[in-house]
Amino acid sequence: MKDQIQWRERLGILASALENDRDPVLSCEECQACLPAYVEAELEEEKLTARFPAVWRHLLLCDECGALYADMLEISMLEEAGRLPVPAAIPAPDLSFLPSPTAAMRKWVREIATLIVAHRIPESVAEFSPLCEAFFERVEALGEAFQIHSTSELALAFGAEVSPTLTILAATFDTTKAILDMLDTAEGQPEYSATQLADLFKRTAHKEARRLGLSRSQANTFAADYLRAARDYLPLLVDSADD
Amino acid sequence: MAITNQKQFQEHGQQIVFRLLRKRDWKLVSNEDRFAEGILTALDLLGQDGRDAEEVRKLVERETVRQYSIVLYESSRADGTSRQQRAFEELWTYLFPTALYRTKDEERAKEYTQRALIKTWEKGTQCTDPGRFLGWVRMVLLREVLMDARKDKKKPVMTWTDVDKPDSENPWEQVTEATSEDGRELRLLEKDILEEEKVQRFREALAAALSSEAQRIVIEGLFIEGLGVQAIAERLNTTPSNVYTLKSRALSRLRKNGQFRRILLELQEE
Repeated sequence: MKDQIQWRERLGILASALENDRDPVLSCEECQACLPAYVEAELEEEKLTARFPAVWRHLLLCDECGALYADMLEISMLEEAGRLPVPAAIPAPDLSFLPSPTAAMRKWVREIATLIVAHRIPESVAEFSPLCEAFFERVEALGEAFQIHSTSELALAFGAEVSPTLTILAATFDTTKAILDMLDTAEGQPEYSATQLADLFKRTAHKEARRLGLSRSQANTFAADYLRAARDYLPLLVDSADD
Repeated sequence: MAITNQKQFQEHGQQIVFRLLRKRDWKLVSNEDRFAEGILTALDLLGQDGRDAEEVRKLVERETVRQYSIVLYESSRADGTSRQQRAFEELWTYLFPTALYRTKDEERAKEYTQRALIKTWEKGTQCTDPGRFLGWVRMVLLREVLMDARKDKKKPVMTWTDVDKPDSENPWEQVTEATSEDGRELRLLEKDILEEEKVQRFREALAAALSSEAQRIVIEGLFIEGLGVQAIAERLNTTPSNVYTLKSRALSRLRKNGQFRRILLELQEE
């Protein structure tokens, strides 16, 4: 037998379709997850029953997925043939649903600083969240462009004794802000490999920590901690095509 | 024109990548030379010597779309960055023509595209293959359109005539029965899979149950021959969507035909 799906089975699928049976093998969600690949395979004239037997069966049994697939295929065929009409003018999107740079940066700062505190001062993690809230409220009051240049400025700005957790938070804030200012451009983003980017993170963290008044060795420790905590954010900042 | 050596392939391929990036106004790649090199290196492994230039164009364009999909996917996840903003603007530009083509109404097209972008932002991580992110996003959009059409029960079906004349103002029309141009013979099925006698019996039962030749071609092509929708659409000179419309109508008729269902059961049991 040359084909994956035999004659008797094919008749069985037709019989199931006539009975309006649900596909016992694949859910709609599972089928739809495969549809982009399935469309590509069809455009490349691959044998679908051999490569995607379960999807093929599901599309015959499920009207919803079948209609969706036919739509996707139709648009892709037109696009590939250069026949999908492109309107002369495309209206502008409303992207207000996207998180603002400020909100996103705060989320990053909070996550990175929490990881550092959990690593260095684990007993302070519980009280760290309220400290973050108070910190960001104060930053907002002072204006987004606000930057802390020393621990005494920090004490003045926040009207409190400067605890190690507050220092970590302030250093993380300044470092992240400086890094994003350098990297976040939609066009003509500076080219960095992952290694170069890691080096940039570390150098910036060291510089910002020193500016806050930390000693050289404390700044080194903070820079290493920052890099470890921020490692997950590297792929978001580096252009994968350049990596 | 045939591509006969690696140098030709590199030069020709690079131009195809650059042209596609310009045409689509895709700007999230910072180093286009390196981006193109990556694409051509991946394809080079497949050995492109001696390929037809048109074939090379298709291959390079597909790989470019795949690689750019990854860039878009990652950028769309970089919350709060200008890259994310740019990625969603590009997704909008990519999706809007599809929405307009499907709805023929600018306001509705805007609404569907907007909904698709929000869903993409909320559920983008459900895309399991970033290389097919653009296909996934388009699926999100078309699902929105189809869900509403199902609610309204007024999904328009395009004829191939509309497709051939995309800029014309042909009104959308409900397709009657598409018919094949000439009574072309169906592809012969492989003898080791099907016994000719049973096939003949199945065909006779199908012909007795369905008067429309187009419906018979769709049922036989989809269920028995295992053909792709594209192949059946080309055979009937219609659209993939119409193939599924024909399939639904045919199944509806077959469901009501006791004689056909009896024969189908017998054939299964033999």
